[in-house]
Amino acid sequence: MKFSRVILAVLSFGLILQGSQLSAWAFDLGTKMRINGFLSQGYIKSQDNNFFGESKDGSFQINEFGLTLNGELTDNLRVGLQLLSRDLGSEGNNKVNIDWGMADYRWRDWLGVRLGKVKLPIGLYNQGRDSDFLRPAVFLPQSIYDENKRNLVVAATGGSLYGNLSFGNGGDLEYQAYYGEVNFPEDSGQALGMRTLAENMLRRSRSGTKVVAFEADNRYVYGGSLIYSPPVEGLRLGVSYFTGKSEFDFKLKRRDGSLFRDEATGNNKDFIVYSAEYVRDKMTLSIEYSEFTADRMVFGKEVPGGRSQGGYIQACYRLIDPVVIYALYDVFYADKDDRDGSELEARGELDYLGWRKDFGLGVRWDVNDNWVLKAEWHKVDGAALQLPIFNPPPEGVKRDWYYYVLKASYNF
Amino acid sequence: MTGIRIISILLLLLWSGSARAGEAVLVVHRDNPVSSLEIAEVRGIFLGKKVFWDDGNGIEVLLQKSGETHQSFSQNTLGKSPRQLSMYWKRILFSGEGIPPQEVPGDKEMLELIAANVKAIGYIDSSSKDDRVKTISILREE
Repeated sequence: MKFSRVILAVLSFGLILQGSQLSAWAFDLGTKMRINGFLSQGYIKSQDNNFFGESKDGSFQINEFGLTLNGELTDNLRVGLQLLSRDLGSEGNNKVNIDWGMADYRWRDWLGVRLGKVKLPIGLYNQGRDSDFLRPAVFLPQSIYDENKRNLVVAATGGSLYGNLSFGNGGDLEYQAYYGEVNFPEDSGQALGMRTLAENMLRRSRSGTKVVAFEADNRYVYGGSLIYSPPVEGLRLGVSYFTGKSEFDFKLKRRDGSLFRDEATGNNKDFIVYSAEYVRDKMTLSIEYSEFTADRMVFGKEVPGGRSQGGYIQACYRLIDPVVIYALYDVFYADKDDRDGSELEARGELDYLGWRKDFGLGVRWDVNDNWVLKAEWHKVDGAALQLPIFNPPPEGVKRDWYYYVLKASYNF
Repeated sequence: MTGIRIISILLLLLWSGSARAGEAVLVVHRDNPVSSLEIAEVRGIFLGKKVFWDDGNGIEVLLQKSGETHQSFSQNTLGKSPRQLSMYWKRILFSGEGIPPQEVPGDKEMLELIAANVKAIGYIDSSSKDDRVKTISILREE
């Protein structure tokens, strides 16, 4: 079976790496050149709703493989590249992509420039979202790090300015500002969401018109982030901003068989995230709050979206050195002025598409410096964040549902 | 403030005079003109936020892989457990923001590398100090 082969491959590769001390070998290339990488494989099972693919039947389609190359050419200049292959339900399918790849010129502590494909700083954790072992939970809180929006917000080809401003004993401020374009594939959650929206509109119009082909094209994204580390040990405070515009080109077929083209645009604008993280002894507390506006125009018609709102609180506690337990409460409202979904209901849609309230509990075990094992369980009320894509009629999407995830990761 | 600094330096000089095992001290190349650093600067250097010496040369940071000295330096000076420090650098590495410092097995290798590299900074157990390298005092205004 395909998935058991994947697991076997991951485990055996991990064991080979462990045995051959690849990290030591990588190091022998010299201090100026590094090769690192990671692999992770998970299993997701949900009840009452599918969550990214066919998760109700249990799915192994949740993995990441990364290979990271870095070279320091001078004190100021570094070049680097990360290849990433990932799968999450219908998205990714383990095609190998450049996750990030750049020339990074650091002129002073307070100013550097990166050119190429750069990761976008949204919230405190977006830049590390593909490296499972960097965080306690398998999924980052979906209110802010929605996996369906991943392709739009994860990285952009363009450039960024960054630096660190030190205020001595007053702490320091890290800043980043970026501009670029995103190349997101047609199987991404972002593209699928627009396609589903267009198909629903066509179905409701009863014109008999069908989508034949579809292309998604991002025009631009820009934004930035500020992270302040005050002189309070373990505290980080952040704010970040993102705006992006995308165009979608549809090839449509009328009932009489004639073909024509029409288009849609999607602006994910004014995506703002406020963040706080506090690490004290064995405890880590993270709180983030965000809002964003999705303005969509489909076939010349404006689609009401409103301004969404989301946030979470996550507490992690290190029980014994290698074991962390955590609890998460994560809330998202598709329209902050319609939290109970009554306007959705008035338009003939399900009210619970207007919210998603996720309560999760989990455990992470750092087996050693390289291996991490995780298990987590979630109870969710609501079906916002594109859940209907994975739960089409006739069965449709339910309000109350559950999922659990198991995952093993190796990094070197 | 200057008074506090002077007192801190004096205290550090007293402490460094009576080196105790298990206590990490900062070391640089003998030709490095720096003789003391603010605690905020030390954290900035070892967390990749401050990457240049005042003369414009890049700072080459060396970490110890494990051990008591590493534990003591990581926890007491950087305010992070060794595991948190390792995670911090992995986050920077895999998000494309930088390269983690080189890791060395212990004091012996640290001394050799620091003595051979004018841009390097690291730490050793205070009992391992020798005149191939220069120790740096850390100014704590707390």
